[in-house]
Amino acid sequence: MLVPSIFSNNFVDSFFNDTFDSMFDDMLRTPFSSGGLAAMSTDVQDLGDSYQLEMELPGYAKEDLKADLKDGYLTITAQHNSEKDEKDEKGKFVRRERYTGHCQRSFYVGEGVKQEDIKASFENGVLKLLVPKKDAPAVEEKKYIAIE
Amino acid sequence: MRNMKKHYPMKSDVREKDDRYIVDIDLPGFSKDAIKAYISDGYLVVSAFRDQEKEKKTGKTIYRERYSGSCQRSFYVGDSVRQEDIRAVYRHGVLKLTIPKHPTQKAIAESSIEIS
Repeated sequence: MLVPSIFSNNFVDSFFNDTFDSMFDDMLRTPFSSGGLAAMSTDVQDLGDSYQLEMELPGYAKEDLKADLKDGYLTITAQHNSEKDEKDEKGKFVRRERYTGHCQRSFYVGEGVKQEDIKASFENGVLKLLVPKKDAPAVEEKKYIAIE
Repeated sequence: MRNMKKHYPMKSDVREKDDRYIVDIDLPGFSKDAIKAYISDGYLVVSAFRDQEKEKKTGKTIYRERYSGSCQRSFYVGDSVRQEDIRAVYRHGVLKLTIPKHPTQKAIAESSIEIS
């Protein structure tokens, strides 16, 4: 229950897709193809007492990132706020592969996790989040009707 | 999520200005020292190395989407571009290279491009 929401049935799908399609992908894919989930690639590790999320957000400044916690979901939003210094740098694009727009991704971390418990750091375009594991609230015991 | 596929590292933008080309390469998670750029036979080669042993605090991996290896990519810039003409800046996981179109005539340097 307290694992990130990535443990949905998508996990199995993507695993098999990767295995079977990779052979064809290697032939077909070009550096230009963005793939399905090019932005915000994330590694999740179980460190025993906490989960560590490492999310790739190259090109974003710390001020462009927002992480908030609501209803047990940790949502990370990235959007370029400081466009002004980029403007004079613009030119004719010869090639464009990078994604520089708005992006957002959510992870289910459980409702027991508080915002102040999550530690976040951002270095070299990688956002690192440490989410402590919190015990699930006691599952309400089913009350059976006594059968006489 | 269904359409999830591995993606190529080092996604790059190339922009053309009047007097120069600007190349932005996504290299998240690398340290500045792990990135090398140099000119070889008219190609600008950019390599990034990942020190696997340095990665501390490794727990049980639940999900891995990021590319964790080393990578290299090259761009044809022509024979007239010299190493010392190229300016390189690494910031927020993006390596920005500025390549002048009309490079100054200088002696060929042996060292690699300094990344600031």
